[in-house]
Amino acid sequence: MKKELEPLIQLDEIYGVIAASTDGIIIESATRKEIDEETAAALTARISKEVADKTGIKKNVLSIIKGENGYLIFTIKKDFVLGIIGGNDVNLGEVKQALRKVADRIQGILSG
Amino acid sequence: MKRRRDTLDNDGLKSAPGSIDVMISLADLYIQNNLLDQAVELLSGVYSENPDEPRIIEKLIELYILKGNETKAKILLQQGLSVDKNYEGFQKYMKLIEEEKTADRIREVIAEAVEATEEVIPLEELEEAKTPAEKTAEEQVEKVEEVEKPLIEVPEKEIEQKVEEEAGVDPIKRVLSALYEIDEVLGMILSDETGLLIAENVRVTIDTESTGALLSSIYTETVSTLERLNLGGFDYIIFEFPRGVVLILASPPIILTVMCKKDVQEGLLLLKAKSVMDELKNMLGV
Repeated sequence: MKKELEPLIQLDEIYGVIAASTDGIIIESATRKEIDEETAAALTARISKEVADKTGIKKNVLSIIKGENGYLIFTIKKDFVLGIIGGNDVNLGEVKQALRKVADRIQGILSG
Repeated sequence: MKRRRDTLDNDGLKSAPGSIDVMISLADLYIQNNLLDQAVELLSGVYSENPDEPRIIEKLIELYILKGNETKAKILLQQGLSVDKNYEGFQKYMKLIEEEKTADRIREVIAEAVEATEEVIPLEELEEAKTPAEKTAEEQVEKVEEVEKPLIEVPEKEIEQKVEEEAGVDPIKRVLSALYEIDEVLGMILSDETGLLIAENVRVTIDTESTGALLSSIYTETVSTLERLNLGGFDYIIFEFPRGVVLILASPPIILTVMCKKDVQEGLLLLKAKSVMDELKNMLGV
């Protein structure tokens, strides 16, 4: 599974990549900067749940959240959430494309 | 402008009457556009999470009757009566049945009262009530890859005209309407951080108060997350849903939400929305 995250963590300005269950438990992670992975997983899952609960849409949602110091970008899949944390200079187009591809591969692995 | 945030809590859809309103409004929108499968899918999901919600049960009863499946409608009516025997909507159907009105007449009555329709509830007992033709049709649907539909269908011309007329007199709406230079934009909601509606400019039929409150709730959760991840203050969110895109742009205390078709150019949307937000801030003095 770690290998699947490599295309994402190798992108410029990406600090960390986390795949977590929908209840916030880490499935796999890779980091290049000091990141509290458990907190990141829990928070990403929490926002995903909020989005799912409030909109009724529970999968295939991609979210780009921009803070003053960087991005939290994640995609909500059926069984998990895949998120990245990156700096202000990430290439959003590149990240979105890679995130979708990696998420589909992980979904395939998890679905057996 | 009345406050709707008091209807929300952290339990999400199950205990948020505001989200039920949104879902029913969305279902009606689907129905008006003859997107019956989407209406069914939407309401079935809501029903599975809210089996005791009379408004959802009532809407499904209407849908099943209009579809001609009175068996399912009666099962749902029984369930509805067990939830709340005094609920006006259920009493209406009881009365129709007691009067032995024909199914066609019942359909006429509903059609006169509501613009409504269609199908499916994910409960075992209701599965049993399906006709063989329905079961076969559903099996075929499951085999077909999901076809992505637009989040909201193309608005009616009268609504567009009304929006343009209102924008001509309301200064905030006029500023918001600049976003319609982007063809894929369907509407905007301006609210404060608590979800209180400030202004709206939408070309589609949605409950803007509830929608604004729901999105404000997501915004609040996001702000807290960004702080805990040391990503700083909130700038914006873009949600890419299977059927559309939603942008939430905030400059406390105001939040601008823009709803678009899924093929919108997000970079252009963001630039235009930021420009509109600057103008609104000047206008509102925030």
